[in-house]
Amino acid sequence: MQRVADVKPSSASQQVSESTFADLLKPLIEPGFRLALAMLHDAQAAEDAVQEASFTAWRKLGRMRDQGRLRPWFLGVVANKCRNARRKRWVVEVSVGVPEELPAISLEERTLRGTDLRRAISRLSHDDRLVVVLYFYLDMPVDEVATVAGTSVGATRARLYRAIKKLRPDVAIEEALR
Amino acid sequence: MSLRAEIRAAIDDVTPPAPTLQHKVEAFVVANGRDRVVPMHRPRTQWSRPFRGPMSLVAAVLLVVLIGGLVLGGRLLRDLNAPPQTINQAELKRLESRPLRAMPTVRPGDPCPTSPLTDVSAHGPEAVLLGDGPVYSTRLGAQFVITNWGTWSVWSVLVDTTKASGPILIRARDLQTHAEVVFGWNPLTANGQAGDGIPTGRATGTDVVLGQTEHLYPEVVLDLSRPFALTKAGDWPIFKSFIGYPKAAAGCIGFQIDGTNFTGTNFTELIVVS
Repeated sequence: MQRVADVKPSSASQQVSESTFADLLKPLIEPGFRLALAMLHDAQAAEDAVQEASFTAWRKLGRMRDQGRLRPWFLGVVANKCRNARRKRWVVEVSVGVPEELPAISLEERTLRGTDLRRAISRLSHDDRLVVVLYFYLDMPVDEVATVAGTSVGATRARLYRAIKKLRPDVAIEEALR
Repeated sequence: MSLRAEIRAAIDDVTPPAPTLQHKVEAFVVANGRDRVVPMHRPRTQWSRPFRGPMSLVAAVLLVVLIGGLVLGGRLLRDLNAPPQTINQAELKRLESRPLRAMPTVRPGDPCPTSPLTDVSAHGPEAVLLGDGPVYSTRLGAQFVITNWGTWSVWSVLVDTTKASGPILIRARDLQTHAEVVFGWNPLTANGQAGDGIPTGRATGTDVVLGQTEHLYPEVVLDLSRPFALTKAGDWPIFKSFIGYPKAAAGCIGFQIDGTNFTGTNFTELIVVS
């Protein structure tokens, strides 16, 4: 174990100051948290994932050549942390997925439909869920989703179609993508 | 409502606000707080550099030894569990696929049920044996060996070859505890002699009997073409099996005997008293 203060960032990232962090990473914390929560369904685990992802990002920030691509890159780091967090949870709990009973706001149909949908999303594989959350929830364009997922645009599109078919088999793809 | 709106609403419904998260993360990442601990990989030390060559060689040798051991161990295991070659394997498989029949349960203190006694004096040296054919057996317990694992004894059977042919498969259970009764090779004789019951199936463990390692097989098969050498012409063949039951077993044993040309229904449960 090493203390944070003892960990030296890479030479390039030594220039990354607190103001740089505020300028670059701060705006990404909230979408990162939303992504992590949608992936993990656990607020505490999502916070941990974002925290770890931010630390990783901070250490590697200086190596980023194209800082315009910071958002997909950072969200990709968050997605990896989520994948690892789920693996750890699987080892500990020998089960994956969300609790059967998620908090419900009311008994309205919308809420029930929401619960069903959340459950359906939670049953998707990590990669399918990632593209669904990024595309539909975080409103990212497909090319950025592909960057986060680490696949081609075509593969991402195909994965998205497959996931939609699993979530809403009776809805036309074009209609769902709107 | 579009799928996008539905997904957004579904996730937002369970997304708690996290107004302090940005500050927490920033503090975690850039603050010089000494009390936060994160797991980090130790930097690679240089002291091992001179040893890397020889160590790689040692690792490679160990890998080869490990692979060789696995191959040899696998072969040994395969040979150990290989079915006897003198037996028609297809017939043996068919017999093994027959399910174990329900046997009576004996409660502690209750007498052990026994098979009927049959006069077989006209067909061999034994006068009276248990069972109503075509397989008759001796009682257990005349001579036995007690080990750390359980009790071993020699168990003999006489087979009416006018009614039975092909291999005969025998499996057994303790009627009180339902513990599986096992078979092995008699440690006092050479393995595979004519007239020996051939232990078969997948060995489930080992025991040491009279200083020899005994593998515990769940079944024994009789090869009617190789009866006991001293069987007189015209007599029914005798087979001897080395049989063991664990310490937990009560010793009241039910045998299921399956032959190719007789059904288990009539002759499967030959019960003897130990």
